[in-house]
Formats: sequence, structure tokens, C-alpha cells
Amino acid sequence: MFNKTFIGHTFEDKVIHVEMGKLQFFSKVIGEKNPIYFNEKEALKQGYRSILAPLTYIFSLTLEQESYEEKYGAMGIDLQKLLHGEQRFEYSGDVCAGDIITISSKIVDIFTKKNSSLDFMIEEMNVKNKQKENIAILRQTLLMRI
Amino acid sequence: MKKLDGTKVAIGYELPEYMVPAISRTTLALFAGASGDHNPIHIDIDFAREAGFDDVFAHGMLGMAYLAQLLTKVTEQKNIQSYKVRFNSITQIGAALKCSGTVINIEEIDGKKTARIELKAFDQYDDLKLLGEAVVKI
Repeated sequence: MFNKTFIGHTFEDKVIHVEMGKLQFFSKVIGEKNPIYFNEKEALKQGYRSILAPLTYIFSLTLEQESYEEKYGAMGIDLQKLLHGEQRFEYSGDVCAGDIITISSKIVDIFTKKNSSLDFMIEEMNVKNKQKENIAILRQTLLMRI
Repeated sequence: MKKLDGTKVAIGYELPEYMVPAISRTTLALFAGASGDHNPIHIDIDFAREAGFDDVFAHGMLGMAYLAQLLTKVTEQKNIQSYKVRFNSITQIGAALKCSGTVINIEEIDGKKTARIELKAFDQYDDLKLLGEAVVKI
């Protein structure tokens, strides 16, 4: 079971430098072919600051600087029982190589459904750029097998 | 590739299907490194077995990255306003995902014409793995 006392818990903000090599590697692994994800010249030509981060890469940025054990260990979460149930992104901007972004993260809810073998934890993350403009809001549902 | 054309797209419009090559153990190892998701349940069979699974299984976010490409093949990424996915069931090693999308509504949001697209990824046994939705400017 998730510990309900963590409802409302906020994690320390993370400041992340978006690295070109990591973006290129991610895009290659997921089978992207579009040069805006690999070639800076092409990305500039299409009006981006540098190569573009794919839609779901923002989730990976939220995993930087700490492992799941480090992030959730203190909350008593057992990784062997943890599953990713749902993931949402709302976009108001994009992320490119060289950007510096800030991620704020908060546990917004923990609940159990009747007759379910799963426990639910909802975490919301806000991603802002260096100019403090909103880039994306992420909402993830983590499941614990009980 | 056919692009989403706001003058032609209507409710019921189906995006061109996208077939993803079968997911291998190598893909999971590479995706663990590339995505920063090092949860051993996806890469370490001993850990997965201890957790009660027969084998390692794919990261949900790998499937979500594949399904997103259904959209970016037909529209520029900046047109995508929101994207969400429910991981309906575990995606096993060897799964070859078939990604599909259907326009379920045309809406005006903040003065912009958008299409709400239902997204699905099935494996080769017609087992639903991901069920999602995106709102895309058209």
C-alpha cells in the first residue's frame, strides 16, 4: 500500500540541462527517423533552437539525478510491486538540446479502489524553462500491487 | 506520408497504422539507458522473477514513445496539445505493436481547430496494450 501521509508531498525542484547526445540516443532507440531529432542544422532550419526532444522525453528528464529507489525509497515503496498505470502530458512549449528546465513534483493523491488488487498514487509534475514559462504538465498514475 | 489536413479531417478519420518491430531484450536494455528508467523489472530477469513475473517486460514509456510516432508521422510535434496513455496490460518481450488512431471529435479550443484522437496499440495477438488520447491542432 502507498502511505497516504504522502498526499501533498512535494519533492525538491530539479534543474536539468538538456543534453544533445542523450536526446539523439533516445530518439535512435525509439526508432525516430526525422532529422529534427538528430541534426542541429536541420532543426535550426525548421525554427527550433537546437535538436528537438521527442514528446515523451520530458518524462525521462524527470528521472534524471536520482533513481526510483532514491526518489520513492523514503516513501517505503517496493519497486517489485510498482507499475506505471497511466501517463499524461499537457504541452505548452517544447524542449530542445541546450535548454535548462526546472521540474517541480508533487504527490496529489493516493487511493484504493474497491475490489481492486491495486493501490493508486497520482503525481503531478510541472516543467518550466529558464524564462519560467510553462512547458508541460505531467500527471502520472503509479500502481502498487497489493 | 499523408499529413493531417484540417480541411479534410472529420470524426471517424483513421490515421495510417504504424507497425513497430518486435521488442527485444536488447531494445529494453538500450531504452533503460536512453530513457533513464533503470527499474530492474525491465532488464533483470532475476529481479522480475522475484517480483512474481515470468520474465522482464517492456517499459510502459517505450510503448508510449512508439505510439507517439503515429502522431508525429502525420503532424508537426508542436501541434500536439496533449497526449495521454493508459497502460492496459504488460507488454511482453517479442510484442510487435500495431499502433492505430481514430479522430473521435473535432473541437475549437482557444480559437484553434483541434482533433481529439483515440489511440490504441495492440500486440500481434490482438491484446490491447496501450489505450490513449491526444488533442492535436489541425
